[in-house]
Amino acid sequence: MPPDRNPVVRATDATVTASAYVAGAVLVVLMLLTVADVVGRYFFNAPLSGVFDLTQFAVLIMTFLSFAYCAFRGAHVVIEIVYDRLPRGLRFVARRGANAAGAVLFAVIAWRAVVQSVDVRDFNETSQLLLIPYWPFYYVVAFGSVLFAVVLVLKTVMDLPEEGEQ
Amino acid sequence: MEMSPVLVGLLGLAGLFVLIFLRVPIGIALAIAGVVGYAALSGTDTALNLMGSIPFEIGYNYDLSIIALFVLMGNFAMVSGMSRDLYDMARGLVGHWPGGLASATVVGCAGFAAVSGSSLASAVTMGRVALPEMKRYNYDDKLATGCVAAGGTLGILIPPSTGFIIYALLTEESIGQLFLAGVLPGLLLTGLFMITVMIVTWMRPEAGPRAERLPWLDRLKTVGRSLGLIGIVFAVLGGIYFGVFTPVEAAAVGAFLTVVLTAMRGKLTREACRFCVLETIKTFGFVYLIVVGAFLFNPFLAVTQIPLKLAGIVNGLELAPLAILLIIVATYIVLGTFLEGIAMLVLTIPIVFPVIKDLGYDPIWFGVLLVVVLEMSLISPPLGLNVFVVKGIADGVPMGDIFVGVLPFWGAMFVCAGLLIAFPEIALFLPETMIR
Repeated sequence: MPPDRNPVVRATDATVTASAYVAGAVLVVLMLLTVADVVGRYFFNAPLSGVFDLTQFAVLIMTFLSFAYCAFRGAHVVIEIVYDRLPRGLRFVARRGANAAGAVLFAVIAWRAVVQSVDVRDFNETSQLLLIPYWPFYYVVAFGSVLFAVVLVLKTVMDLPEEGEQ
Repeated sequence: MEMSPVLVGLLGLAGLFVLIFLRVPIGIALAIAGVVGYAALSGTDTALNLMGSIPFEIGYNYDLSIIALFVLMGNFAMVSGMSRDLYDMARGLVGHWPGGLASATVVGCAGFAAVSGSSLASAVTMGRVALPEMKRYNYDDKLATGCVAAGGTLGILIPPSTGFIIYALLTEESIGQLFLAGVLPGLLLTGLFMITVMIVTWMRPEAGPRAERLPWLDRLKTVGRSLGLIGIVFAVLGGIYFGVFTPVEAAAVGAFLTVVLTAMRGKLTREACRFCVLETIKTFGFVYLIVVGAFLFNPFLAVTQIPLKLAGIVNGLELAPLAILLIIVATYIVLGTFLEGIAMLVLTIPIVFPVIKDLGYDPIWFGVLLVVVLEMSLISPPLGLNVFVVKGIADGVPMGDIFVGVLPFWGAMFVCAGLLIAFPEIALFLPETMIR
């Protein structure tokens, strides 16, 4: 079955793309909030409070929702100078192995984020101004990492757009 | 048998390079080598805790929003078609000089670099406009492609610059100061590129024929069409210089104004917005994966004590600081021939930066010097990325010709680096006089 007809690939594609749109929306809101803050401060003497906090959460969301999208489109940075000179069989093993290793790594990161969220919740850690609790955002880290791991698993078992080939 | 931390560190570094050369994405390779090495030295539990806390801490970062905002600004600048106006303006000003269209390309690249932090985007955007024009005037392919590939590298020297942001992140230096430090060297290098064009066309006049001189009124009109963009550049950099806003705010305002300008030019279609936002997320993703990887690798590097030991060894060499600096710069030039720029920064800064500080060099100035060296790596064979992207838009020009074409510009960068070492004030004047 070609990858573009595979239901798992299509479901992943939909989730990954939706996540990228969410990240993009967060970016646009962040831009508008920051501009509103500056305009408010200089022209109306009324800065928005808490933009600093919101910016940090925004970057966190954008970060972890972008990895999977980037991987699905084959846009992560790889060095090909040695790889290109390897025999074909070894290249295949390296390519698939690289994706598998990345999947394991981000599966562990997701697991540790969930573990960490419990501690953070117990200690009641929050942002400085708006006092937004940190712990739910560990689930954003976990979600993004799982999604990234899923994409990497798919890239381990089938041919999807590879890094450096776009 | 207990292995010494330094030995484990060296094994970790070797493992890291094996992974990178097997084409593991750089961020993932850094993270794997980092957590495995850290687990070996400090225990698995500590390593697992690190994996729980560091990704959140790195993502939860105010200053990093600057990358996304400036990339967004650059993408909108790209779809707005203002590169055409910039080129027309530069052409009106210098097109009738010998090799004028090549010089205009360099000036256009410098202008675009002021709204874009990416060298590749600068080369592609300006190349699409400038290459057909130079073809029409029978420019030598080597000169035409060379000036686009080299001019594009100004993207990371003239602020905003992804290179400076990553450097600031790794060294905890000020992004605003680094941006301002890049302005005068960026103008200097632009000038040196134009001199290079003149030298090339002086030796071979047929390489770059003069274009016709435009009447003054037409020239003024082309300047007028670029005023919006020039205004944005001054708002962003002026705002940082005069302390009106922080670099993050400057990035947001700049991105917003660029969106407005795109709308005023009737280019703000739904498709354009979708493209710009998703491209930004993609760029953010690949830059940020490297950053997360670096911050999972650096704790390991710290416990190996390699940076400390290395700084000690360098101190013990009793070489003049300048000699050590030149060795470091030469090493970067060599590394740059096979490593990607951001990856190179991330891999080397934790090791090199303490040495540079020990030697008493200014960290802001060193950042600028490093970015000029990164620019050289962007056009050096075999992996000069800018040469590859120019190859993609210049149909039929062999890769070898482009590498020959960039050679004189590589020389100009070399001169620029030398001038920076001789006169650090070129970089430091603006950051030292800025209002904080």
